[in-house]
Amino acid sequence: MISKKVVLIGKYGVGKTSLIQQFVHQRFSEKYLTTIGVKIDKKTVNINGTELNMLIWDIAGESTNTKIPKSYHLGAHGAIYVFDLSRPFTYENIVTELNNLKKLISNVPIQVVGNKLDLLDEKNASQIINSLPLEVSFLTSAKTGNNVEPLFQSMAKALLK
Amino acid sequence: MTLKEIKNQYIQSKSQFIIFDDKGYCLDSCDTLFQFSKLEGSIFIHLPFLESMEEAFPTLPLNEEFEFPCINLSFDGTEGYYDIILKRTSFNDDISNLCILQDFTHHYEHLIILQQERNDSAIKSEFLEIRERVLSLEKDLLTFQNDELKRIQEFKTTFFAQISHELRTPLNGIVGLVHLLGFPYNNTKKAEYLQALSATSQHLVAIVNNILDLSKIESGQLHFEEVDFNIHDLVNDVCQSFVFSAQEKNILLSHKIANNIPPHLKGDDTKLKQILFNLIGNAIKFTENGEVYLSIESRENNGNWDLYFKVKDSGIGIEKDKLEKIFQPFEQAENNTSKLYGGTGLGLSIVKQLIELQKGQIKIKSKKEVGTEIEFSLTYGLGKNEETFELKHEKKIFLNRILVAEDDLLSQKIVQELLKNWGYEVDVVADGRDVLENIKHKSYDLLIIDHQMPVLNGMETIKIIRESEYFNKLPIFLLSGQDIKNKNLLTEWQVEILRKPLNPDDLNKLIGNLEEPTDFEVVNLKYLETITQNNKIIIKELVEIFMNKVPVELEEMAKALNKPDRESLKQLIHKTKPNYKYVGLNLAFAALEKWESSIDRELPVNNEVEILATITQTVKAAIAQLSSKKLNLGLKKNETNLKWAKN
Repeated sequence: MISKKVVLIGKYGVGKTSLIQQFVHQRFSEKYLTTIGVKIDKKTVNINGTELNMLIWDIAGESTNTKIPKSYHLGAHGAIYVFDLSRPFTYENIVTELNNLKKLISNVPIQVVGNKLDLLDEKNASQIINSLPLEVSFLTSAKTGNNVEPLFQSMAKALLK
Repeated sequence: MTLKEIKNQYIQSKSQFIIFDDKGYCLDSCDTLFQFSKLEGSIFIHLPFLESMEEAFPTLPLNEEFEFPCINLSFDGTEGYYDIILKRTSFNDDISNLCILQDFTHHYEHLIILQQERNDSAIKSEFLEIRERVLSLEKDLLTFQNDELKRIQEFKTTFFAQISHELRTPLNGIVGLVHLLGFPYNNTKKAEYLQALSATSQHLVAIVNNILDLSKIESGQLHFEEVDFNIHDLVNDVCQSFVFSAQEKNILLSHKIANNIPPHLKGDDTKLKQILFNLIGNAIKFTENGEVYLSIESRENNGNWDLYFKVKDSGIGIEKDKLEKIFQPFEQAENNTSKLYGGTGLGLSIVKQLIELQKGQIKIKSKKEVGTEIEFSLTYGLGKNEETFELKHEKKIFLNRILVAEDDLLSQKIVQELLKNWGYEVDVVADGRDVLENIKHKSYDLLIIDHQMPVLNGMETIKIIRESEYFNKLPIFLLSGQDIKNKNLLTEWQVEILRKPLNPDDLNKLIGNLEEPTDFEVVNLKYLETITQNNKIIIKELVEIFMNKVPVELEEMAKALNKPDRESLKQLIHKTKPNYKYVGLNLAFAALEKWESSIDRELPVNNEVEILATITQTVKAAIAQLSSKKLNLGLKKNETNLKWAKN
């Protein structure tokens, strides 16, 4: 079976762990529990008949990803950069953060995700995305599950390409 | 036990070394932490950490260590935090992979608590920062509003200080000239004084207009009209008024309008005139023995026409660093400009705003001692060709006596003279109260009433008149110098508006449009609108009942008139009566009611035939009115009714 490593990166408290919990175990907790280091979760998905093991690295959020050990990125096949739609601090220097990320893992699919969509109305959310100088791939809510499955499905498809 | 042995034992108990091939098959393991050596199959299945690196192992440089601190692993129900080292290495003459696990669970579990506290407080301070940012923005907004208020206040102060001086000068001139005109021995110079008086008054009017415009612009109340106008006539008018001043200063004043510009345009002609007056006036003011040239070119733009105006003079010019300043209110290029050339310093500021408010642009080029060139662009629609009609008044035969209500003596005089010249009898009053008094005692065919009057103003007076039974048909023109807010009300009351200062042409047109009044009552659906809450369908039904039933009932009444039995006539009157009220024929309704009551009380009614005839005529007129398009009820044309109404 094909196995692929996907890293989840983004500032602390943006909901990386919650997104994985929702995707792998379909559960959500309101309580914020910080992650330290890395926890790896595994989920097998079926993309058009092909079984794929997604090995998802939940990397502890820092104030900037330059603080993350470079070795964590080793052998990654894809990355998901998560920010919190309700906290400007988590997307203010998103371009620099993504450029740093691309230096560490080149030529792999990277998806940019705005999480906690449930905390905003549609108008505010679209205002925020329009203000960003890059394309946001998905707006998700780990709490309601909104767009979580499509996000990982789309990543899985990109990994198989 | 030696220290070395104690140390080794301590380190050993927390570390595990595993050697495995690229497929994850265990080649050797010390099994201190996890029992890997006895596992069947690949260890990758049990450790997703290693599984995710599967593809990476063959690519790792030999003997280089890769450290992975703080990796959360669980195996066989035990979960913990490990620092991991991966190394590509030789083992038993083959290339294999070495994984060193060091158990730091105790250490990291302690760290989690600290990290949690750190992140919680960082997120909290983020929200505090946002709140502070919002507060600071609110503060900025308040400061901005405060500054804007201050600016307006300063503007007003400067405005009044400057303007009171500007107003006083021509006013003093006027007072002086009027005084001179009063001397009986000055007869020979009267014409001269009058001319000077006229020029000074015009100047004063110009200043007052400028002030009003500027205050309108400042308060955002300036409106732009959409009227058809002839660009050639407009430019000729403007240039014509400068002919004398140009001649006096030996200036060649000329203009050219490009051939492709349609002569008839649609837009605000008054504002364009104002702009051109200001710009050409300025050009002439600052030029001596030279040339002032106006050219207009244009380009079609989606059915509209973008007009490019250029006013060029060979005057004194302006220095480059002062070009920006001259569009500011009260600014002139030099401090002594006002003394040397006069003016308020408002003209160009108004011009700029008038152009920009119409989405146009203005540019200025100038060279000291060479001349100035001002270019601006404005967009106009295509206008209609409306034949100008000469001011030739055709007296209306049905119009004899006109009542004019105006408190300003000069306006009174102008309207009175004009109407008298056209052959009408005119009475003049100065207040709405007198209007009401006069119309009670004399019969008037037209009322021309000023909007602003003491005690009872125009609108209040008109309201009383329109609500009265007797005068609701009296034609009324309302004179007004300002924009009227309740234009809809005036339309409903059928009141025409005359702009002040009065243009004789307007009055002429309005009188020309007057139609001969009928002697019959005018239908009025107000009552129906009120009781049906303006339900058009019910109104239409009731009107149709009136049109179909009432004529039949009138015929029945005519038959009943000849019968000795009075009861059937009374019942017919009683039955038909409400229909009259519905359509607002209140006089007819009152007459029917009186008639009915007389029969009821067995009182003699002398002129029953005449009463019925008058009512029949009223109904015929009413049906004709109801069938006319004006009521807009979508009534079906009923030929029988119309024929009946016409007979």
